[in-house]
Amino acid sequence: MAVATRSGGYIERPKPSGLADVLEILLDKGLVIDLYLRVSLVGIELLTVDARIVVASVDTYLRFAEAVGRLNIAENDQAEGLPQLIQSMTSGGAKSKTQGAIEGVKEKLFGDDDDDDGDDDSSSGQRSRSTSRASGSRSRSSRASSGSGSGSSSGSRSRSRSSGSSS
Amino acid sequence: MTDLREAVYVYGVIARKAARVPPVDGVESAPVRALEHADLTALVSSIQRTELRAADVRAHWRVLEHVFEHATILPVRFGTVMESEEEVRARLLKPNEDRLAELLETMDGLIQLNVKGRYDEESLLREILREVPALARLRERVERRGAMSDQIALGQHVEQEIEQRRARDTAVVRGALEGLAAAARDDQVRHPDAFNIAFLVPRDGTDAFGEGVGRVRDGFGDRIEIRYVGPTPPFSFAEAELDAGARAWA
Repeated sequence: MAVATRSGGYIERPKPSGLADVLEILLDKGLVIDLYLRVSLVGIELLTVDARIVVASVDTYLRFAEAVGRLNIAENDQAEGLPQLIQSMTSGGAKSKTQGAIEGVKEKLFGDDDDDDGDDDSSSGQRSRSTSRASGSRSRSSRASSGSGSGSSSGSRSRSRSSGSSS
Repeated sequence: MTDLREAVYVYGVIARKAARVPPVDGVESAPVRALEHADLTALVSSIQRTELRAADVRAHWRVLEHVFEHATILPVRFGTVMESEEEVRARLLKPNEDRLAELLETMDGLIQLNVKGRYDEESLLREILREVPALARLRERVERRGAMSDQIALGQHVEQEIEQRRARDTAVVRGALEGLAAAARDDQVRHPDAFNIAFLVPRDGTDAFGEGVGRVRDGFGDRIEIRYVGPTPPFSFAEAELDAGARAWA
């Protein structure tokens, strides 16, 4: 949402954070009491850990190579029609495994009724809301230090040229 | 086997002098109660199960949201259960008294707002191929010969290029918004995210910040889709690993 200001700009209003927006933060951040028991959360914890491991593996490289290979650049940009674009975006090729994992968690959490924001395509019909969880195993506060990656120190100026493929 | 009869689920810590928080139910629909020590108040509720469910994630968030409306809260990570009230005082509040008080002081009146950016993968890859001729050549070679090693090299190079663009785009956003915030921190990103930056902003300073976000959005145009989300408690800035004194339980 945006509100115009006198200066000709506009003020953005943040989207209220539903659970879907804060899910990762919720599971991943906050004070950690050293050594303390974090109740076993079998399904969810495994999935988030899994999601981290996938990143930066050979898998990822191959996926990028494949994605680049799919690009149809022999014909020039405007030759690629909208239908093609949509198709390649929805064919699932553009979706990473990790995202799949997170979507899985979301699916588990929200089922069909919650304040999600449209971008989750809950596909599988299986919706485990009830007690489908293995019990017993108990995990202690494992804190995979979530490397937040981007150093962002480089002084290089970057212009944000819009690079839409057609014009 | 540990006795869990008196176990409590811990949501977070607020200042003792903070405004009174109206009653709210937590996990297992148990009422949330306050445990005080020195200048601190821990918010907890009784818990029976040792296994949490999706509903508990919702409950955790519901409590934080509720408290956050009334007071500055340092959230404890989801799924933290302590043996008893006594343990909460002895292992969470007491040994970390100064640290927590200081954090609360720092966060007072501040909220977290996240600015997230996402690339459209296809446009991003096109941009990279356009700007890095060597990659376009490598791509052709892969197409001709299809050697696995070339594929990996190609993918690796593409990832580096993406990484560089992330760093650049992150710097742009930080440059534009840091001046309007008390602090900024990079939250985790995963492809095709460009950035996910958490900003600490004064509760009453959101207009100026929002204007900045608008400029960022305009600057990126179609290249990066911006999502502006919040407010939330200062999760990303309360990441401290606390000292639990002696060993809890094995």
